[in-house]
Amino acid sequence: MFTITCPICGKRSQKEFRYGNEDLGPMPPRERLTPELYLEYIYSNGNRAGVQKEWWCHKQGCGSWFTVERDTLTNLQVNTGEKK
Amino acid sequence: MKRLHQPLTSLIDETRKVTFSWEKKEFTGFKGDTLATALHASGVKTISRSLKYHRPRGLYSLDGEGVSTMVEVDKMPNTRAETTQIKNGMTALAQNYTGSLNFDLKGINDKLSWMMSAGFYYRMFHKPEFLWKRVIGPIRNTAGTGKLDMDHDYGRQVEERFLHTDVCIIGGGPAGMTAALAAAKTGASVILIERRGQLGGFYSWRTALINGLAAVSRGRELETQVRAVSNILVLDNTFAMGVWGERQVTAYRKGKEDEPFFEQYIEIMSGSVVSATGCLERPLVFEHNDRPGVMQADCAHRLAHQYGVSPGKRIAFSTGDNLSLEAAADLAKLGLKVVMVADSRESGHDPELLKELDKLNIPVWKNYSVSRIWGQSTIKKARFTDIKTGASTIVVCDTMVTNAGRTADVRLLSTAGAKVRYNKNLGYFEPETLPENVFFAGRARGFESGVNIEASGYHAGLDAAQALGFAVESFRKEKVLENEVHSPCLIARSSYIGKGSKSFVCFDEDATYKTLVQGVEAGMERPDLAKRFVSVGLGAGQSALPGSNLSLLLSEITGKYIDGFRPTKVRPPIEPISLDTLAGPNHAIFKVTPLYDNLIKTGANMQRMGIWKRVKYFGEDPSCKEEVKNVRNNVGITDVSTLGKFRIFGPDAKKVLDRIYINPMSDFKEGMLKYVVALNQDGCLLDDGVASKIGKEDYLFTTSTGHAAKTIEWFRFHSRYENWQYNIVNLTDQLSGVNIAGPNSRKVLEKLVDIDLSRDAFPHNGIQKASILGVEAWLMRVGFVGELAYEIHLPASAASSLWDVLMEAGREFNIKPFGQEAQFILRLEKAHVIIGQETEARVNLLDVGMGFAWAGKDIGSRKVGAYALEVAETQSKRLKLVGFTVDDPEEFPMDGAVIVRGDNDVIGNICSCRYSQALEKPFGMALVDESLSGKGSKLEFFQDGMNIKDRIRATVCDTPFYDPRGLKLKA
Repeated sequence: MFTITCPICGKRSQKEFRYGNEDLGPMPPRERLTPELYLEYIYSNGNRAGVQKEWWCHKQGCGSWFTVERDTLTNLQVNTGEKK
Repeated sequence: MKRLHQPLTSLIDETRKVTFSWEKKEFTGFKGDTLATALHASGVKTISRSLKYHRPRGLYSLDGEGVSTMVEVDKMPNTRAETTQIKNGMTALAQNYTGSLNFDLKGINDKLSWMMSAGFYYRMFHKPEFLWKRVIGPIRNTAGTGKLDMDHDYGRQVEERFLHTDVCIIGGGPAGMTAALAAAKTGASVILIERRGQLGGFYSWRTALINGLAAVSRGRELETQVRAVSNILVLDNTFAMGVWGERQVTAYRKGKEDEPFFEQYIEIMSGSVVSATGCLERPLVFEHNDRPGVMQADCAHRLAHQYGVSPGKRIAFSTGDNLSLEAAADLAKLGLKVVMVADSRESGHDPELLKELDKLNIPVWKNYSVSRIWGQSTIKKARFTDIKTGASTIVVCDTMVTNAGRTADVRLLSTAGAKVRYNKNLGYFEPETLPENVFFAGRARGFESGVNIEASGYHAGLDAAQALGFAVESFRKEKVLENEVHSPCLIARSSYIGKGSKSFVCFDEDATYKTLVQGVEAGMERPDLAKRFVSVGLGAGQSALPGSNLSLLLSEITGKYIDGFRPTKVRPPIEPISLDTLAGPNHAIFKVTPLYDNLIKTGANMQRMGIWKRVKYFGEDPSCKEEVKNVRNNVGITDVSTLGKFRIFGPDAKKVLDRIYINPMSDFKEGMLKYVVALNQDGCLLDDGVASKIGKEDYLFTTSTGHAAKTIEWFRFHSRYENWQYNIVNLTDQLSGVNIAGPNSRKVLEKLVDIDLSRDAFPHNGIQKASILGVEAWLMRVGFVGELAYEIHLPASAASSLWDVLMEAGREFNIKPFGQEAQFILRLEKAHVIIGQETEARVNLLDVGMGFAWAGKDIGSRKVGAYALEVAETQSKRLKLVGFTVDDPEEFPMDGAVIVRGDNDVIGNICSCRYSQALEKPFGMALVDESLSGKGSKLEFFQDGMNIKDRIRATVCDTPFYDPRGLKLKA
């Protein structure tokens, strides 16, 4: 259990948010896609032990998606997120 | 038994008798008594049997840390007798014995303990595999965990409470209280958590003087101050379970008699946390240290001072701290027989207390500790041994008050992420560093004098407020810390316990010194390994009692430096909480549509479907024959208010639709609806609905009932990297919907609207705006049930009137309502897919034969799931959706029945199967291996309850089953 700082609503319990996976950037363009690359993009996670950039949705609040940098070892947020 | 007179520190009210039963016999105690104290006062010493060896156990600490005091109270197993207050009519039973509590047949395990070495079960029954399966049942039966009565309504009300505060202080002793007062003074909001029913901590049962005032009075003085401050919220009877990231504290509170809940789950978001949890008594490890009558010093002290109960008739002490000396003197002053006091320390004894004990004629044996006691359910005698020389003396006694000194309770700090190390000067484990905005105060820091404990709390309270930006400097100088000389007790066990086969390190799991040594010999020498292999601190007590001892003993056994060992990490919850409290209250919240009253009046049978209560069927017939017939031949009316309805508009609205829906977005026609399907990234079906362009850059679309709540999140997620300008509005609850379906639906609607409803002016899949009852409504010609049908969406407030007006207008045609089940059959005859019924997680758009919706190879818009479809297009051996009719009309397979080939091959399953009045036989749709998906293929179903060799046979046929050319639909 930890907290997430929503860029609109502020610091809230993580229970209010939905996790939207690590930030992997936009999907590669169709010309570059192979089944392997697609699989990698959709399902492979870095499972980083340390700071990672990730997506969260404030589902019980404003509903926006935003990224935060979270240290997965301490569950502490490094920045306070930026609105997307 | 008459209680000792204790006016100052007493917690009981001797004018109010309480009657309860224990082991089916009646007992009395007084209001304020816990089950453990009332039983002890009545001479009941054994209240449970231990887990493995079934040894008798009794009260030990009065704080309920271990399983030794777990009993069944009013049918609730594993209730702690030490922390449960007695009530009139309470029924309590002992657990974990066969025969009787005082003569447990399984006590034989105690005699057989020599064969159960460390890791006994792991090794003995590891191989062969079948053996474990045979023995696991009997072993589980031997291990005591209590039993829930599954037929009993426990009627426990639980609550949840979510709080925010600047400073959260855990521990309502002197340090916690002064911390609260100090932090509150600066203007910070404060929550103070205390596990016992009253504040005061270790002041509560002491009469020693703190600054000239009896400790208990000083405690009450502080409590009065704390309770008078408006920005301090006191949560007593509250157990903190853990401190999580960013200082979220979880706790639970036990309801008092006048509170409406049994337990309340509490979550606190706090700016700073102060841990003022005080000290625990470290258990002393010696032979038979678990016998009833062995108890901690605070336990004996509290029994006498707070409950007026004599711990025993001949009380011996083997302890290692000054508070125990104080307890011995206090007991003697009450006229109780204290035989002697052994103190494992060589020096550091409070000279005043020594003088007092001398005056009371109680010998103090320095550098001695108890090494063994004799007796089963009562102690008969004890052997005391000089720690240095080994010289032993036998003492006759019936109560043994023991500890190996104190240790700081740093469990909460450990859950907060503090690393813990050993401090030799204190003999405590203490935090090496503290997480941000977490502070640490009081006795656990090594202070012994009340003045210092209070000052330490005061400054921690100020630190906690200061960290949040409150101005504190002007308050700083009010309290100062004085110097203290520490006198730690450094041992964990008596040196003369032999192999220690009955010297318990962990009472919960019956782990002994001997098994710990065996664990080390097996290579498990680090605390985290030994803990699991030997089972120390794995029980319900969560390492509270054995935690520190484990590291100290391992260091002694291995001869390795104590500094190299840390105690095992403490994980929340550090206080056991019942699962129903964690699960939270069951409010059974559901939504009803604005038509609820109309539907109920018409005889609706409601059923919970997802978040909604919806109509399953009307009247008496669950098979809905009449409802179906009426729609096919006449006109039916149904509530479609639960459908998701959305508007999306803005310059980039179309781009978002193009991303989410697999259909091409280039062909919106004015006044027409477009069937749209959303897929997930695997190309599997997520949702479907209709969409229409209702203005420049302005679209209306519907979703299925179940997907409505997730729609906006899904849209935003898949456009998160784009800087698209669009707005999306959920109109689901603003607009209600009524669908009238059947050949006569046009005639009904004509009476209410003045727009042209003819086939050419308003064709199938058309959408029109119309005024109905003077309200603007959307009319959609959709045909989910396969008949001429109109869906009317209008503001929710007008829906109920519309229903009545339609019923009235349709009366001449004998209009009848229909529910979900009738709709299910009607659409199944049309082979219209319900996502989640005819599809599952691995079924994609092509598998269900809906490839027509796909826009094709996707270059620019990156449609969700499009690439997966491209890949799947050339795959073989996928499941395909087919229609079937059952060969023998008398047989009726259920939804979910499997399709088998030969004896063992499962090659698909039935999605939906119903009886069709049109076909006069059961029919349905199934997902089946593509080799059997061709028309005329024979399917064999098997379902629960059938003989293993029996099959229900069916034949794959063309779909739709009804009106294949859609003539009725497009009428």
